[in-house]
Amino acid sequence: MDSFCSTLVRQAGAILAAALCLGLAYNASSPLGVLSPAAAQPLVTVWPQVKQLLAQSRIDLVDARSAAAFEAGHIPGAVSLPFPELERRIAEFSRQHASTQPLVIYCESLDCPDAHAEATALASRYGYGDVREMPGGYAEWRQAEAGGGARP
Amino acid sequence: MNTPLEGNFHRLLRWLLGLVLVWAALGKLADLQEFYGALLAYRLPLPGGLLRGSAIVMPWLELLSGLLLLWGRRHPGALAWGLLLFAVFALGTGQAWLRGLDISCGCLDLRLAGVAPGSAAAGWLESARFACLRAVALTAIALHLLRRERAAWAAA
Repeated sequence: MDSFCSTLVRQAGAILAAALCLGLAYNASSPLGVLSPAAAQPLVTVWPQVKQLLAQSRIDLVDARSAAAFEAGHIPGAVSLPFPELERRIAEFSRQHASTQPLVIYCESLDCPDAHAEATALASRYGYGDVREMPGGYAEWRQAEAGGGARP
Repeated sequence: MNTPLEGNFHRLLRWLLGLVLVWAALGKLADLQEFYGALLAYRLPLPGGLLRGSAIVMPWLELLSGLLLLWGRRHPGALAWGLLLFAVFALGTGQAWLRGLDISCGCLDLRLAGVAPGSAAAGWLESARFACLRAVALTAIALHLLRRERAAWAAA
């Protein structure tokens, strides 16, 4: 290896080592760092943001309510994955939704804990890398899109 | 032997690469989660750990390489990283363009250039197609500078 190549490799290695150290330290200290799946807490989002991402096909929308509630009415484009049935249905869900696919989970309203629980489980137990929770849920969508009354 | 005009031209090219790398790094470091989300949107068949690692390390590789290129001393290592990063961007955005993915490339924070997010200009500048063409051009510049650096090194 000539002196140019050995200098290039030495410098590139030093830059990589410095970037690794700085990256790990910055990520650990930043509130906006990338979390490991085990420590991941779902990010929170709201309907206007979800609407835009959904229109661009950048997310899959997941309804964590019961199958009966989903049948009675749901946000258009959502798929049903009831939280109580998560363990039984996760294999089928994983076949249709890769773990790299961004997901947004919702349930009935702010009073419903299932969206948070399902989002946390998908991120920490089932390896989904980008899971967000829409706490306002179906009620927020109805308020924004259907005047608070209709159940499509 | 380089003329002063050639020397200035190549210095400008090196500064251009350095500025683009620093610009790209600052936008990513401001929100690593957003950058990680942008990486996931490329739907690359890569393990999640590798994508997370890339989201953590890549902005610092860009920042350090960009600063060294702006600093101006002989840094073939920084040029090599610039070449590799731009080639990876070209491949990533190129596959997204070919697959027709409607994604924001996550490359540059356009707010730093005064372009409003969500505007038509931002949509075009952030499109996979434009990002791919830009990355190919920057890869070609980095390759040219690295070859020139090697020739200068041999002549010294």
